[in-house]
Amino acid sequence: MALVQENIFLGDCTANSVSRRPYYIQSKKSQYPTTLEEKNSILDESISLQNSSYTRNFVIEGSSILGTLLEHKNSDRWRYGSFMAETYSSKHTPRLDSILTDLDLNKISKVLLDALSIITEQITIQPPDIGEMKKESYRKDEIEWIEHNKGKLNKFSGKWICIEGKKLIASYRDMKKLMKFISKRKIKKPFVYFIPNEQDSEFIGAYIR
Amino acid sequence: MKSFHFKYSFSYRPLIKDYYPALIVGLNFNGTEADAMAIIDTGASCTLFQPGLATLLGINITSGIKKNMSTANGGDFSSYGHKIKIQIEDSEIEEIIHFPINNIPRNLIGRNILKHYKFALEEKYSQFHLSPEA
Repeated sequence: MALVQENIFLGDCTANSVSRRPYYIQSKKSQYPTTLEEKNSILDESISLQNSSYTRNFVIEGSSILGTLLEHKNSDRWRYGSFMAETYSSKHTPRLDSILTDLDLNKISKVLLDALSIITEQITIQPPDIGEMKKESYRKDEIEWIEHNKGKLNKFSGKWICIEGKKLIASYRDMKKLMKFISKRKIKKPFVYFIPNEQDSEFIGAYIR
Repeated sequence: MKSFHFKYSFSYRPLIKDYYPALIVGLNFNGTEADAMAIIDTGASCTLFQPGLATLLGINITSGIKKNMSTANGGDFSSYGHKIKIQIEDSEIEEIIHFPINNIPRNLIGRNILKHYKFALEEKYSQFHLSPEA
C-alpha cells in the first residue's frame, strides 16, 4: 500500500459535495443526508471550506486506488472528516500512471489508515480530472449567498430578489419595480432569482401537448 | 468500459426545499441581459422560464410561438417560445425558451438546450457534470 499526494483547489463546485461525505462516514451508513435539517447542519462547514487549497491523498494498492483523503492544512478535524469512502476500479484510473511517480510508503499516516478502516462499501466511479475542472463557477458568490441564506428565504416568498456578489441588493414582488431598481443602479446583467411560495414549490415539469 | 470526461463539475445547487442540478443561465435578448438559475429537467422536451424574466429582457411574451402544455399533475397552460442567446459557463448557444403567462416557481432547462451539452448526474453524490458538445 502506498500514498500519493497532489494539491487541489476546492471551489464552489466540490466543497459542498465533499461536505456531505463526512456525514456519510460519521453515520457509517450508505446514505447521504436526506432532510433539510441534516443538510443545513453541515452547511456552515461546507462554506468555510470553499476556495481553499487541500492536499489530496490517494491510497494505492497495486494498480488500484483504494481511497482518497482530503487534508486541509489548518484543520485536523477536517482531516478526519473528509475521507471519501470511494474506491476506484483499477480498470479506469487514467490519471494513475501520471501520479504514481513519487511513491513514499513512509507517508502513510495513522490518520489515513484509521480512515481506511471505515470504508463501508465499494463504489466504482470515474475519478474526476481535477486538473481540468474549472476553479470557480460563474456566479459563485451569488450561489454562496443563496446557500448561506437558504433557511431564511421564506421571508421573500413570492418575490424576485436580485443578488450581486455576496449581497442581496433588492427584493420586489413586481418585476417592473425590480427593473426600475436595476436601471437606476445601472446593472447591465443582473442575477435575479424568484422565491416561490411554499405551496408552489412542488411544481413539476411540463410537456408540450 | 466507456469513459466520459467533462469540463465542469458542480454540486447540486440550493433551491427552496432541496438541492437540484441547476445551472446559471445567461440570457441575452436583443442586447438586454440577465442571469438566472434553472434546473436541468431531462424529462422536458422544451425549456420553460418564468415570465418575469421575459419582462426583464423586454420580451412581449404573447408575440412568441404558442404551445399548449400540460403538467404531469394534470394542469394545462399556454406558453410562448422566443429565440434567445443563452450562455452557460463559457459556451453560448441560441435556442427557444418558452414563457407561460402565469408564473411558475422555477426555471426548467429542457432537452432542446441539453442537446447542446454532454452531461451526467450523480444523484448519490449530489453532483452533476457538464461539457459543451462541439
